[in-house]
Amino acid sequence: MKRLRITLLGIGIALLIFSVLPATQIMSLGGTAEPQEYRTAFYTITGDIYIDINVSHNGSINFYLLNYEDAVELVKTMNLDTANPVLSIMNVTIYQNYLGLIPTGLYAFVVETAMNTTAGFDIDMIRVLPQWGIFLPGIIFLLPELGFTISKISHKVLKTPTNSLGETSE
Amino acid sequence: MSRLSDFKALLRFEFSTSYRQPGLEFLVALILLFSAFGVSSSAFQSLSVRFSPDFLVHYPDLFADFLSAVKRLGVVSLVAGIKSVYYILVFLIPMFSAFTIASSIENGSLAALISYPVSRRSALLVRVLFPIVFLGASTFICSLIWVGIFLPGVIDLGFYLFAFVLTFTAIMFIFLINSLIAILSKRASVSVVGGFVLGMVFLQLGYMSDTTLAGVLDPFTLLVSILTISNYELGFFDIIASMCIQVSLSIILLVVQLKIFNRMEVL
Repeated sequence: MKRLRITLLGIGIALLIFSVLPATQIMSLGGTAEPQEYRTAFYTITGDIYIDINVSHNGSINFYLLNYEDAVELVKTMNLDTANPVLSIMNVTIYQNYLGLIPTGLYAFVVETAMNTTAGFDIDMIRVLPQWGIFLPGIIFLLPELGFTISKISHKVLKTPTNSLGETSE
Repeated sequence: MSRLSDFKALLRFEFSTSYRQPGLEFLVALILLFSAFGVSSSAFQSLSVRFSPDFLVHYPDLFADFLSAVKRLGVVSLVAGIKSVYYILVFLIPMFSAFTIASSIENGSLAALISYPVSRRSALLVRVLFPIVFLGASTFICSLIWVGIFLPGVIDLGFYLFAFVLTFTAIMFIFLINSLIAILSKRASVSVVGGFVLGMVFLQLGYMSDTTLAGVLDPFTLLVSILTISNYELGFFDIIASMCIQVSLSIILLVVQLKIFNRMEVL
C-alpha cells in the first residue's frame, strides 16, 4: 500500500513538472488562403492557448477550431456545414484572445477566406502554462498521499488527550 | 511446481530487500517524465493539410492518406517516447546492475542469500529478470499513456505490439551486458564506470554505424528514421534482423552469466 502511495506521488510530481515546462514545438499556421480552399493544421492541445490572428492584404478570414472527429469528417466530406466547431471566428482581420477549458486531444485549426479574394494570414497559438490537461491529473495523483498525510496528522491530534482548556496532558 | 513457488518466494523476498522503496517508485516517475518529453516532441508537431472541395476528384485517396498520416504520427510519438527513455536507461541500467548484482557480491549479501537452500541460478535470474520486466513494462506503458493523452483515438495495435517486443529485447540486451560486467568485475564502482563507458560507445556507434549495427545498438533511432520515409515497410527488415541478433546475443549472455555465476567463489 505504501509503495502504491509513493508511486502515485512520484507520478503526480512528474505530471506537475511536465505541465509547467514550455513546449519546444510552436503552433502556427500561416501563408495565403485562396477562395474555395481550406488551410488546416492539426495540433495537440493539452490546456489553455493564446490565439493571435493577423490578416495581411485586403481580406479577412474565417477561423475554426475543430475537434478530431469533426476534422476527420471535414477531410472526408470537404464540407464544414455538418461540423460543430469548438471555436469559430468569422470575418476576422485581427484577433487576440485566450481559449481555455477544452479537453486534451488532437485539434484542427481551419482557415478559409471570408470573401472571394486571396487573403494572407498569420496565426500563432501559444500554450499557456500550466497546461491544465496535465496539471489537473497531476493534482489528482497527489491527492491520495495528501489525504493520507492529513488524516494521519488529524488522527494524531485527535488521539492526543487534552484537558478542558485544550492543553495536552503532557 | 515447487520450483516455481520457490522462485516466487525468492522474488517476493528480493522485492522487499534489494528493491526497497522509494527507488523503484521514483524510477517510474522519472521514466514517465522522460517519456513525456519524447512523446511530446513528436505529438506536438503539426500535420498540415491544404485542400479544396474539388481535391477529392483529383485526389481520391486523400482521406485514406490523412488517416494513415495520423496513425503514423501516433506510432512515431510512441517510439520517440521509448527512445527518450532508452537514452536514460542506457546510463541508469549500469547503476541498477551494479547495486543489485556487483554490490551484493562485494558486500557479501549475495553470499548470505545463497547460503540458504536457494539455487544460484534462481538467485541470479531473479536479479536479472525482474529489472528487465520492470524497466521494459514501465517504459512501454508510460509512453503509451502519453500517446493516449496527446493523441486519443489514434490506435495501431499491430505496431504497438511490435514496439512492445522491441522495447523488451533492447532493454534485455543492455541489461544482460551490464550484468555480465557486474559479475565479472564483482565491484559496484567498476560496474558503473564500465556500463557508463559502454553506454556512450553504444549510442555513438548506433548513431554513426550502418543500419543493422545501428539497429542492434540503438534500435529506436533507426525505427524513427525508418518511419519518416514514405515506403517505411521496407526498412522493417533491418529492425527485425537487429531484434533477432539482440535476442540471440541475450540468450548467449544469459547462459554465459549463469555458468560463470555457478562456478564463482562468492563466499
